Order: sequence, then C-alpha cells, then structure tokens
Amino acid sequence: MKGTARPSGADSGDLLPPELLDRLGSLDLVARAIVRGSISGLHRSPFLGSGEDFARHRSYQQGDDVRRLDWRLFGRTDRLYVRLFEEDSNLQGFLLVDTSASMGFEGDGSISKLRYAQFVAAALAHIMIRGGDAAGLVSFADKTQFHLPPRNRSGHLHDLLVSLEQLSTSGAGSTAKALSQAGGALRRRGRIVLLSDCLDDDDGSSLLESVGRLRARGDEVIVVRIATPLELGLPSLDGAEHGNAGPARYFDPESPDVVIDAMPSADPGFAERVDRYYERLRTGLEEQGAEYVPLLTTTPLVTALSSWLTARNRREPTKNS
Amino acid sequence: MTAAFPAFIFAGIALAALPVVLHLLARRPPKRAPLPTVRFLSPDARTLLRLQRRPTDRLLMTLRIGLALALGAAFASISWTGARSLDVHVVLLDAGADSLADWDAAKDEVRRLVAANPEDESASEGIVLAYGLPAGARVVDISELDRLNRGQAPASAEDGLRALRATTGREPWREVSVSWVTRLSWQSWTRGIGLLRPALWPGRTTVVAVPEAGVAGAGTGGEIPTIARRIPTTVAWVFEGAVESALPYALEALGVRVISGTGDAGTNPDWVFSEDPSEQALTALLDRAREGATVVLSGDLDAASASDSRELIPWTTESGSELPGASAASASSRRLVLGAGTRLDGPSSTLSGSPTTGSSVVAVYDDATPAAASLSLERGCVVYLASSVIDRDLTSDLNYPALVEALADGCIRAETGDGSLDAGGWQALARPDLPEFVSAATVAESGFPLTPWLAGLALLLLVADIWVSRRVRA
Repeated sequence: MKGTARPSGADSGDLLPPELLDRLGSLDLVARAIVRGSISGLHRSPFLGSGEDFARHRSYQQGDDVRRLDWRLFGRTDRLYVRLFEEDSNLQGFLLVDTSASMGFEGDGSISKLRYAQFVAAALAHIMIRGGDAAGLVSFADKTQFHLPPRNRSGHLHDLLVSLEQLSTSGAGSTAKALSQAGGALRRRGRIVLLSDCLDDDDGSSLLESVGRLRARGDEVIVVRIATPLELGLPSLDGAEHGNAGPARYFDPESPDVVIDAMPSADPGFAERVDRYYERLRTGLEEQGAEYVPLLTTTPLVTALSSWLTARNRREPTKNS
Repeated sequence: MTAAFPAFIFAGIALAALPVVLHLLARRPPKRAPLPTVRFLSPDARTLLRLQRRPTDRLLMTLRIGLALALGAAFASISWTGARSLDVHVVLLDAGADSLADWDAAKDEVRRLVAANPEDESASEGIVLAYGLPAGARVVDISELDRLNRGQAPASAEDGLRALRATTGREPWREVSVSWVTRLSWQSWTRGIGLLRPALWPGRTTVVAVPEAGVAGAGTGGEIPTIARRIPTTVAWVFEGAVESALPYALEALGVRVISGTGDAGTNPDWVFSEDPSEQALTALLDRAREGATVVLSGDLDAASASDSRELIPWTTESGSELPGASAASASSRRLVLGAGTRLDGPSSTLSGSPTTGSSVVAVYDDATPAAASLSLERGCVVYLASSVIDRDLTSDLNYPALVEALADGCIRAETGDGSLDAGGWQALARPDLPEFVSAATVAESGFPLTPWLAGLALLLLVADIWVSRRVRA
C-alpha cells in the first residue's frame, strides 16, 4: 500500500490500528467502523454493478452514485432513492478465507494474519451486502469448508460475521483447490475474494491456473494477500530492521518438523527472494485480469481499504465490465 | 575514589567470570521460531556456529556479572574522595614545647627545604605543616614563619604523624613526600610507636635533625645522637627471698624469661632481683652488675654493711655510713609514685635513708621523698628500693609490673630521661624502608561512602535477576 494516495475521508484510519480493532471485540462493530471510514470519501460504492435492466429502488446510502438517484421519485415522495439494476442485485460472491497454520503467524507482536483477514472480510461483506450483492463465506485449510452460501437477505450479514468469528487456523492449505471448489459453487458469473498469504507448496503456478480458469468463466477474482513485515524481511514498525528476526531455528508453521538454523536479518537475499515470489504472483494475476491487493497486518485497516477501494473506484468502468 | 579493602574488588572481578562460565556451560538450545516464508531463507553455516557458541540468556548473565561486581565494590568499602591533583613535599615542623631543637635553627631549616622544592622545577609544591602549636596542627605559610612561636604544650612524635595523616587526607593533595624538622627527645617517644609507625604514616620521612637549643659548638648541630638503647631484656634472675612471691609472675607479664634461685652459672641475665641479700651474695651480684646486668636490690642490707661494697649501693642511711637495715624500717602509709604519674598502694613499710651522691632517683613517695635510686656500675647498673620489692601491698597493686620495669630500667631512664632520641629511635621514626611518596588517597579517612549505594544496586540487580529468571523459565 506504500505510495498510494490517502483518500480525504480516511483520516480516522490512524486512530484504528489493527491491534485496537482486535480489542473492539464485535466483528460487526469492527466492520461498521472500517466501512464508515473507508468508503465515506468515495463518490460511489465500489462494488455496484453496471447492468441496464431496472430491478428495484433502494434507499440512498452514503457513498452511492448520485447519478443513480431517481429524481422523479424524489419529486413525488420527497425521499432519495437509487435505482438498482438486474446485475447489481444478482451478483454473487464468495469470501474465501485461508485458515491454514501459516495464517496464525503474528510476526513481531502485531495481530495474526487470520485476524486481519477476518477484519477485511467483515468489511467487504458489509459493503457487498449493503450494496445489494450476495456474499457467501468459504474457508480452507486441510479441506475446503462452505460456511454460508451467497445471499442478500436480511440477517445474512450477521450470520456471516458470526461464522467469520469462529474461524481458526490449523493444518496446511491448497489455495488452488479451494478456488476451484468455490468457483464451482457459483451458479453463474460472480466474484471471489481470496484472503490468504498465498504461500502454497509450489511456486504459485497452481494458484494462477485456478484463477485463470475462473477468469475464463467470467468471474471476477480479487486476491487480497495478507502478510507481516517480518516474514517479508521488511523493517518493523518500531524501526528495528527485520524486526525480531535474530538467530533461531525457524520452521514453517504448516510443516514444523523441517527446521532451518538461520538469521533472516543477516540474510541479504531473503527479502529479495520473498519479494520476487510475490511480484511474480502479482504479474501473473494481473495478466489474467485478476486484482491483486497486497496488505500488511501493520497497516491500519481503514487506510488499507480506503486506498484500495479508491483506486478500484477510479478504474471500475473498465474493470467491472 | 578509595577502597578500604581493595582485595574485594579483585574478588568481585573474579566472581564476575563465574556467570560467563556457567552460561557457556549450561547453554540452552537456540529458540524455535515460526516463519511462514522460511522456504526463502538460506541455511547459514556461520549462523549455526554462532548459535552454538553464543551464551544463552545474556540478559541474565549481564545481571549476574553486575551483581558480582557490585558486591565486590560494596565489600571493598569504596569512598569518593574528590579530585586530587597536587603533588606536595610536606615539611613537618615540630613546634612542641618539649622539642630539644633550637627554634630559629629549625625555622631556617624549614626555609631551606621549601626553597629547595620550587614548584616549577620538581612539579611538587613545598608545604609547611607545623604541629604542637597552641591551635594544634596547621599548614603555615612560609611568609608567616618569622612570626611563628613554639607551642606551650609538649607534642609527641605520634602527634606529628597523626597531624600529617589528617591534613593529607583533608587537603587536595595527590602524592606526598615528607621531611621532618625536629630534635626528638625521649619524652616525645610514646610506647608502641615503633609498631604503629607504618599505620600512622605509610611512607618514609626524611628526618632533619636540627641543633639542640642551648648546646653550642661543633658536632651538635644536625647530627643524630648515637646513644644506643639497651636491647630488650630477655632473662631475669630472681634471687633468694624474692623467689616465693609475685615477682616472677610480674616479670613474666613483662615478657621476660625468669630463672629462679641461683641460676645457671653460664647464663648471662639482664636483670637480677635480690631481696635481703647476704654479704656473699651481694658481692656476686655486684660482679654481675659490672658485667652489664641491672641488679635490683631491696629490703634489709644489714648483712652487707660491713663489706667494701657499700659505696656501690645508691642508698645510704641518715648517718651516711651505714647501709639500710631492718632497724631503719617503719610502717608507712605513703604511696609509691613512678615517673609518668603511676601510683601504687604501698608499700606497707619503708626503710629510711636517701640516694647517695651521683645516683638518680627512680621512684618517689607521694610526699616527694625518694623511694628508689640507681647508680651506674661500669657496664651495668645497681638499683635500690628502700622497701621490700615483694611487699604485699605493692604486689597486690595492678601497677606492680610497671614498678618492676621501672626499677629494672633505672639507669637507662636516668641517662636518657630528657635526652635526645637515640639512633634506633630516629630510625624507627624515619623508616627508610617505606616508599618515599605516599598516595594521599590511601590515607584519606573522609569521603563520600559509596557502600550503601553499591549494596542497594546489588539488591536491585538481585531482584531483577530473580524476576528475569522466572520470566525465562515461564
């Protein structure tokens, strides 16, 4: 997220660091706080479709495109309504959350990657459902688990947040397999938001293949990569280079029996190799028309989402078509 | 910064090595840490080596090293004495009333010594420290030396050394060398100062002898007297009537080996005590005195009155022709007084008479009449006590050993009582075997004691050690 412009409405982002959100407790409350901060500055909701067939009216919500306001209805009822089209109300999406053991990593004292993913997923579910889209929840580790199908009825958001809250890490996961299974569960063209550290056993090629198949079907794929600065070999927030990556016996949480005696802070190639891996992943995803969103657990959620959604909103006419 | 017990500092340093050794021996295995991107790490052999060599729990080790050092420093009784930057040459001037020195000559000597020590040439400053003044001891400016008068009270050599030590500890001096301008007498010699001398001042003093006051002529100025003090007595004979008494025990209390009875003819005693000697015994005892012994006679000398030896006895009856006998004895309530004001309750009876011409009074009664006298006889000395040396009232007094010693030292005290200190005494005060320069910090008695703070620091480190240990174990 470094280098992206901060939207005007995201000033509260610094007041809501991930650690503070973690203490708020209720995921619903967290989602509301994030959404309020992240989309208040946008001119239009970033996830609305652009179909032509009118479906129904909906009360105007902050962030809705004013061009969709029905002024005639306003003249008759003196209330603001926006017009929703067929695609808007029928878009189905899955939030695909990685719950493998590596997502339990907290780095140097921040919140875990899974917790950060839960916050992001809650915020996105909030935006999607309130925007008229149907959102479902899938998690994957050793096996893929369908928690909730994509729906848009009242109370669904609450169920989704409760299911999100109950997620915990264990085992190793295959992102490619989970993507394929989630794509197969969509009855028609839809949206899949993957929240993962994207650290598969291979070099990411299987993930790209799965994304490619989904894109060929016309599905929208958003890959939200969540990582900590420590595992990327980046300086930590307190300024200590490489955080606490001193000499130790390091192991992969998904295969703890394999140990490497090393000192990441003294390994000049470590950060470069990690960066090269994720850069290749980004390139592959963009070539296939998928969206790649790299997030760090130390970045305030409001700031992260605002930046991303603002950028997405600018290019929406071409991306969401 | 001074340390009363520097050995504890070294003990603390040695103790500080213990945690290092223990932490190296009892290393814990390196910690395991999760890292999802571990596959991108390159295994580093050097890191592995470092992990094996590095002591674990280094915070604990540091705390324990600090604890050992703080304990060592606390036990060493370290004091902060401030900055010391001045190297001085102290001219110690004896201004006591009992000094035998010619006062003007002493002051001239002080001026000469200070002038010989210019600050810009020897990098040390000449300081005059006078003791025995009415106000005690003080540093005297060279310009006020002309107006300086001698004190009214006597000042011993011990007073001078104590003043030197106290002033050195107080002043901001760093290195101190000492010249001592004096003409010490036996009066200024305090018992035990020979042993105390290094404790009073741990360096040598260049003793500058100045001429005695009122003694004119060549050979008296600046020379150390050469009267040899008698070597310490080691053997005493107790003859005849004195054997069955407390006298042998009093002598043993003085550290003297005692031979009772007639003794071995081959033994050469230093002291010989005889009560009521026979004429034959008296002749033999006087021969001992001629050979160098001190013969202490007491009691009835009637048996020897007819001998030719009576002129060698330092006591005579009132007629002047007889030795004191039993007929001269009378009951007495007077008390015996020794030189330094020591009094004894007794004797119960005394013999009349007085010291002969040429003899010296060794002890008196409290009415100022002589009680004992001494007279040199060739290489030795004859002492007579006009009473019984084993008088019950005397032997039951706590000061009885002092009386015995005073009688045995009779001729020495008479010779040196007010005389200049002899060569042995000067040597004992000068102590040329000690270092010339003394670090002032080693004699400073004052300063800010750091021990309570160091002990507090040690306690704090101990608490921190316990707290960290528990966290590590948890």
